[in-house]
Amino acid sequence: MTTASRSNPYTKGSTTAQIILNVFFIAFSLACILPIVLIVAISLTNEKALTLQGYKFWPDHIDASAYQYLFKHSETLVKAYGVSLTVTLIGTVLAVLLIALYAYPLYRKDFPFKKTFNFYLLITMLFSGGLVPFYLLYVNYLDLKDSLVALILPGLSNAFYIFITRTFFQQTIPEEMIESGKLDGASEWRIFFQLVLPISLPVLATIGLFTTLMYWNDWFNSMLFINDTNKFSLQYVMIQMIRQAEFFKTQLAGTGVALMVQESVPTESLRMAMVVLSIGPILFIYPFFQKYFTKGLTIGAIKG
Amino acid sequence: MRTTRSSGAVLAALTAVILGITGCGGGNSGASAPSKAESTAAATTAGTEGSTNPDTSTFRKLKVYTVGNFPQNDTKAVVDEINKYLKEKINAEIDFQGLPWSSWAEKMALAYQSGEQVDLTFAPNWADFANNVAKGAFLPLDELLDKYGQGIKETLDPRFFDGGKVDGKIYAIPTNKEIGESHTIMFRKDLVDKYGFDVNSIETLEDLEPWLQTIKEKEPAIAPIWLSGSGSDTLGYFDKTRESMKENFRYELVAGAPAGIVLDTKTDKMVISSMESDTAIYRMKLYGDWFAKGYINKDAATTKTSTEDAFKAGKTWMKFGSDKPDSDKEDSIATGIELVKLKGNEPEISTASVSNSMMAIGRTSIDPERTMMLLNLLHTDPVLVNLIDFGVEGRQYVKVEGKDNFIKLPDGIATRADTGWAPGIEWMFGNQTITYLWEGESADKWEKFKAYNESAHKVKSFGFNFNTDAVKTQVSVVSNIIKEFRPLLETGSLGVDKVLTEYNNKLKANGIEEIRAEVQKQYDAWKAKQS
Repeated sequence: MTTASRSNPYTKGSTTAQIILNVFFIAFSLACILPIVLIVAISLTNEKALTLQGYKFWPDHIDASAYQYLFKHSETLVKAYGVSLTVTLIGTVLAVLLIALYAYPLYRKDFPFKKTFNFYLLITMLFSGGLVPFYLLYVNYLDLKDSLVALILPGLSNAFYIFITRTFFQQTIPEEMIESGKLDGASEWRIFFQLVLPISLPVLATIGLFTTLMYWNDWFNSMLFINDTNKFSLQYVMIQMIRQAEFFKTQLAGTGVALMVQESVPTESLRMAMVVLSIGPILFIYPFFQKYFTKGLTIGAIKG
Repeated sequence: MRTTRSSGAVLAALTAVILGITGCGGGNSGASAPSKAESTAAATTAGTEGSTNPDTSTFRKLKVYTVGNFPQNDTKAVVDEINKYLKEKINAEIDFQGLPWSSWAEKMALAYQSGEQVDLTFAPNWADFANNVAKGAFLPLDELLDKYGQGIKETLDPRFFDGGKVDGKIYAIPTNKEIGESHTIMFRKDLVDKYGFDVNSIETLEDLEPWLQTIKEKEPAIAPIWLSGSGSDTLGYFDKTRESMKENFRYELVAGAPAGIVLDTKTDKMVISSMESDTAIYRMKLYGDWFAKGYINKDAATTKTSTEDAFKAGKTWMKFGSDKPDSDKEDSIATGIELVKLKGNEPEISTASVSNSMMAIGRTSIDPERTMMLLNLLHTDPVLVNLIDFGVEGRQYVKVEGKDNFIKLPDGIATRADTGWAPGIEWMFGNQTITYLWEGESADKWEKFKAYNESAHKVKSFGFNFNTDAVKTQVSVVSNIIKEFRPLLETGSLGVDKVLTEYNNKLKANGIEEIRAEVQKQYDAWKAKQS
């Protein structure tokens, strides 16, 4: 159970503790913010200046050539944005719906197969088939190569989130509400959509945010299943840029091949500009979800 | 209370419906499911026994995997052109899978394991080749080569074939290019001319000293030598010190063993270079001396800026490169700065050098015979190779007036990258010696290649490959120690004697002797097998 302490740090505790806490959190916040500031700074620095002087928080001359380059080749970027947005939107909506639909019967005491479905869920958390079977299933049996479905399907359900949602239902939705809904003649679907879901917005928002982030940041599935350049997601375009440089530095170093490969490694400032462009939209998602975050989200004791 | 027994079923049905909807929404651009692979035995014994007229009556679409600067904008046009040509020649087309460097290794591993159709694939020794052969990812090629690869046998230097051999069977065909490796240092031509230097006067590393002195005094803005120890830039590339010239290739690196262990060819014993090889110790001391004199950039041990990048940014006037014929011209074209190079050592043929670029036929190939014909064409047919390397005439390049095999970029296009086809795969496909030359390269470049290949000598341990299994832990620890100390040793940044002592003590404490004994044991066993 939650024990929300009602003590307000501004009125209680010694001044020393106050100072220590404040300093700590200011430092911590800086540690979170500064890297992003640096990335923005690098993306606005001339490549030559980077080689000569290294990274600086304030570039001597603002040089937007990296962004100009990206906008010149905006076709790829616009497409990639489209892919990322499509996958994220469809994926998130479907995933939240599916998770809620699975969690709800697990909360209902009168659902006879509760044990079975709980156990099934637990198994998926403990064991996974591994990469090759996963790949085979998608490519050979479902034939989803080069299809956006291959990017949406893997994230549609998550056992852990289902447990969170179920626990939330158990803690916030009184059985009597379901009963009264039935007495008023509402169907199961109506009870679920019109009574249960509206009260469960906090948990739905939380799960929604998690899945949004997961879909937005996912590049691995693109790497596995997508070869068609028109279907590259934003993150995949970015990870390719970044890994390309690392690959030449690490994998090929000392093979003698390094000298044969005419590198076309994107410049540092270009890569950082790419990063800036791709974190943009997701930053605005946070404040939107902020208001739904409540203290009451716990998994609680898992009862069969 | 009515228990709704059906709710489970409803849920299942609903799930199925949702998945069904999304499943249908996927725009599948006609990618056919990979066909089930024929069994290896059938694949190798099938075909027309002994007849020289290969059967090409059935049309085939062969999947060709390679790696490079992909994706390229104009891929479709180039591949269409290739397919038009191939359809005529061998009634086949290719499904060209050009993968980017960043994901190639992972994608190939999955393709081999999942049984997807892989007909022709780039399979160099540095990308898990031995392991893939052991797992049965590639077909043995000896018979196919005899039947459909006559052109390859006629054009390829026989020394190459060892590159793709595992246990006496050929599993991959190396690309016809430079057979050995030798390295050099290149300098900016404008500065070399300005101070009247003569590259032909440089025989050894020590001969460079007056140059470095001049640059240090007169060009304070640039480093006479730029090293970045954290990368792979090292003066060892130009391994011509007075000592090493005296010893004349006495010490050789051992394939598969940590870099600290070398073979002393005089005694056939494995030695630890930082303790027992006078040449190596002398070289490190020379670096230390040069660093102290200020010839090497001060932050050599820690800088992340590679020599190449420093060169492009004008921080230095030198870069490292391969010494294959015309490599200075190639690099001048690539960097846009005119270069001259020193004369490197005569090339060494090592296990790595003959196998660092090979093509293999996958176990899951739908038609190994046809794939071998394709490979044969790649080795003998200039039209096809040039298409793959340089793209379509008139689109990606134009012929130079009056010279048949010289090409240049079309007017108004600055670099190859802007043409929509510049994957940088000239050294991977078939036969490099039948390809076009860029304007500005020597007309006799490929003759020079021939001479270069003829001058190459095989290293003594050619064909030996150390298997680390028995001393895995020691190797991984020692490799990390080497990684940690290399920047210090290769750049001369700290007192050489002190660093060397510490390094050697660390190596001893972490099992370098055990590794040496194991390498020696394997090497002796391997030698006994060589007649």
